[in-house]
Amino acid sequence: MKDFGDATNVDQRENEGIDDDQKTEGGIILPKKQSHPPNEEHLIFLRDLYGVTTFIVGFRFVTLTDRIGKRTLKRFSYDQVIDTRGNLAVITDASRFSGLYPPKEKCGESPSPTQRDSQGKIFLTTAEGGFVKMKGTHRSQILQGLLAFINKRQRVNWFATDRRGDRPSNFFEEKKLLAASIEKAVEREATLLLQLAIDAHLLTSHPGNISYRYPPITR
Amino acid sequence: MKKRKVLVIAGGVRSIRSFGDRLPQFVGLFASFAVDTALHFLRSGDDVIFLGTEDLVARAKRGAEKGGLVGLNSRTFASIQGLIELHEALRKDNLKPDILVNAFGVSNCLVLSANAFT
Repeated sequence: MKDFGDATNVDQRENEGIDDDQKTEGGIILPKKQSHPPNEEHLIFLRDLYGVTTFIVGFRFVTLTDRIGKRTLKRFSYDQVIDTRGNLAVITDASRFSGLYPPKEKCGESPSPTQRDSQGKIFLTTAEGGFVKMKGTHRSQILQGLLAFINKRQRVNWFATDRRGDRPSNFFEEKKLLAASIEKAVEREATLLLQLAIDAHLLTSHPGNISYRYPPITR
Repeated sequence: MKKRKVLVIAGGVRSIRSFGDRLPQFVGLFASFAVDTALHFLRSGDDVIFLGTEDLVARAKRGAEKGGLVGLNSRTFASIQGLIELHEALRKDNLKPDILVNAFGVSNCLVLSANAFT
């Protein structure tokens, strides 16, 4: 199998200290600039690579050890979904996530009942702004739920309605357009009748008026 | 139901410097989450392509009871060039994923200072 990337870059980055170029926004210290492209660029790039048919699940992990509010989690994850054109974001913070994976537990093995931890919680944010808490306290329950959610969402067919260039967007515009087309038809008909009257020598002199009633009176 | 191709991207946590002393803990968490997700997809009958470090791929393969998991080794994946290479490799084998689970740390971790919300 092909080996992607260069391992030395990791070591270099790990050995680097914390820079002073971190920006702050509303008291939150934002991720510092790195030598490689910004995080969001990677995520956006995934959409560019695989197109709209691939269901992209992102993962938002807030590294604070202190538990943060659901509203804040929702904001972070929704921003990620929108900014990166993802379909779904799995969001959690360190305190919640640690509960799912107690230390010394080997990956891929089913945890024993004693390893259950009610702290393990993750949330899902959909592209429409939905915020769903995954039910269950056991990690396999939560992962099962996550999979079911992904499966369900992946099967959804999304449609976009294309507006025709000359088609009005609302009822009033449509009504106005209809009235204008009727007026044009009436004008055309009146011109035709006038021409017919002239050709038939019905109008012998210039003075006077000619009128045409629309809609015609039905007898 | 039609078999789907699921691509799970793992790893990349080591390059987040701000973890400091907590680094091993987070590396383990991400690895576990990525491996578990891949295995759950595999058990539900999907084809899984797992991209991660050599040890992660080995772990995922160990967990895959019936096989069917394609492993791609990646020591680090923190560049767009890396993504392009992956894409090219997948396209060559006609492996466009239906579902992509990105548990890649660098792209997804929101590194905040400890007193961000105080």
